[in-house]
Amino acid sequence: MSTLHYRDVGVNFGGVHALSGVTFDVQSGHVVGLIGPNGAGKTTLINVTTGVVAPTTGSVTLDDTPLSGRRQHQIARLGVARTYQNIRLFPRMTAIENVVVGATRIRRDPDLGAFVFLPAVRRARIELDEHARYLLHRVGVPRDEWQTVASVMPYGSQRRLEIARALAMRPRVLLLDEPAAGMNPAETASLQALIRSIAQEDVAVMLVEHDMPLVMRTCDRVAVLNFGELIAQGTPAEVSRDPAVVEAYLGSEAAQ
Amino acid sequence: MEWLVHFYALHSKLIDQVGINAIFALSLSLTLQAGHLALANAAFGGIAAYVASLLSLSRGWPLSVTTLIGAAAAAAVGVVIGLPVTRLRGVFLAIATIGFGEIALIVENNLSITGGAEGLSQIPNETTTWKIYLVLAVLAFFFWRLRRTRAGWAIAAVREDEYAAASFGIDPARVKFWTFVGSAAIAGIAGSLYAHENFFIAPGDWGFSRMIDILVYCVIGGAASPWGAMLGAAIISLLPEVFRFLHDYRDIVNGIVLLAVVIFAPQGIAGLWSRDRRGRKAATTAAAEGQG
Repeated sequence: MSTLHYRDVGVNFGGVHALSGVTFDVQSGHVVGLIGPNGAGKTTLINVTTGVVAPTTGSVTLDDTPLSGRRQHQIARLGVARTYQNIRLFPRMTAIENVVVGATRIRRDPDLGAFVFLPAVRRARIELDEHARYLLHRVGVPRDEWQTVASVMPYGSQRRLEIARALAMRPRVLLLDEPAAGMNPAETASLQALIRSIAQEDVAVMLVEHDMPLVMRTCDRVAVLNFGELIAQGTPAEVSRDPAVVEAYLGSEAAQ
Repeated sequence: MEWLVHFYALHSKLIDQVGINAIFALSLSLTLQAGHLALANAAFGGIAAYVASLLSLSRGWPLSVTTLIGAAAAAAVGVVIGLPVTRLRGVFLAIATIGFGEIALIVENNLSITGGAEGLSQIPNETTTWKIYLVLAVLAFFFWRLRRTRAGWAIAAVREDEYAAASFGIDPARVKFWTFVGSAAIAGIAGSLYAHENFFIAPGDWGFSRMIDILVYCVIGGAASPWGAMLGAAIISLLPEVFRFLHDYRDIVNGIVLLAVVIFAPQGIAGLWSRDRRGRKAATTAAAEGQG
């Protein structure tokens, strides 16, 4: 069990308040949706969590371990995985190789072993490959693309590969940044099942997404950002009735 | 057999030169594999050459000892320079390392211990063909196995996308720093071998034009591949000899060949055999169909 805590998180870019006073939790086993209009600060919150951006105020902690102030790779080693809204795969590596890099955190094979042809290194590589194949199968990358370099894979497969690579880390926290972008309804439905199954493995999942039906069906709780401030949080049903949320999305007239 | 002996007797100097250039190319390929363009390998080679030559001249130590100390000295300077400059990216790193090379030249030109602009002479001629190719074989083995280590994976990941690499627990700054230091050490080995091959070294041997030669080996061979780097060094070192019969037109033809490689094989010569792209995909599609 682990919980990601946001406490009074604020980020200023110069005079712009990208985030202010954001406080909520993401529990393991739960999927928390993070929604809001474009520019509301959703990706900024992911960047704060992963150490790309330092919070100006407040803190992010994973259980009792503070994340703010640590560097990107250190936070990753604590088990915080992410996917990227603008896909950032390793372009000239194959799908399997991408997933193997994702497993860097959990690799235990002796590093100098390869120079003396240690059998353990060979075994570790075979296990990593097998685990990568399992994950690619699980997220639904077609088998004939597993040995294809990432840059020439179809867009939908690239999005799935991002998730497989993140899962390879055996994360405690998974931050998904618009995983359904560009997917058709059938693909989105299988994505929903995938996200639920990840949460069931005791991972704390945060889902940033514009596809409202997906968010409402998948998430246990939803947090709503508007202009960097948390304007509502609760169950999907509560949030979708919240007047402040309706106003943020549709304008004040519609809310009345 | 007799032909081979005759060939070696005639071309041994050239064969040695190819080997030393290949080691220089390997040194640069280490930083290129991590995706950063540091252009100080000639300068590191020079530092090691001076240290090793001075030890040979003053102490009479054997080549293996002086070369290791020279390479260690280059690596030590690499640590000092690398700490600040490996934080730079892209063209800024290239400029900073070129600047360091120029500083090294000025120092070598003005110190009395390095012999100033006249350099050092009467360096014992201890480098032999088998020693060069033994070192090259050891380094080739190192690079071959490196790809299978966690460090090798980290290097490849940082080359592909350092931000994504960081989000999987790889520290790009650490990867860049240690490849820079390793690159300096390997360049140092090449520098010491060069000094003990040629009796004589001067600051001009380690200038920007030498650095460009090394860069051309790697670009022609295939920027991020150690095999490409060695192949590029061999081709570029041999080209002027192959075209010797053209006399005055030799440089023109050299230039045309280089241009042709850059235009028709932008991934370098190694890229022509690359497992990447369609070749790889076609191979696995065939394999998958085979499995039915």
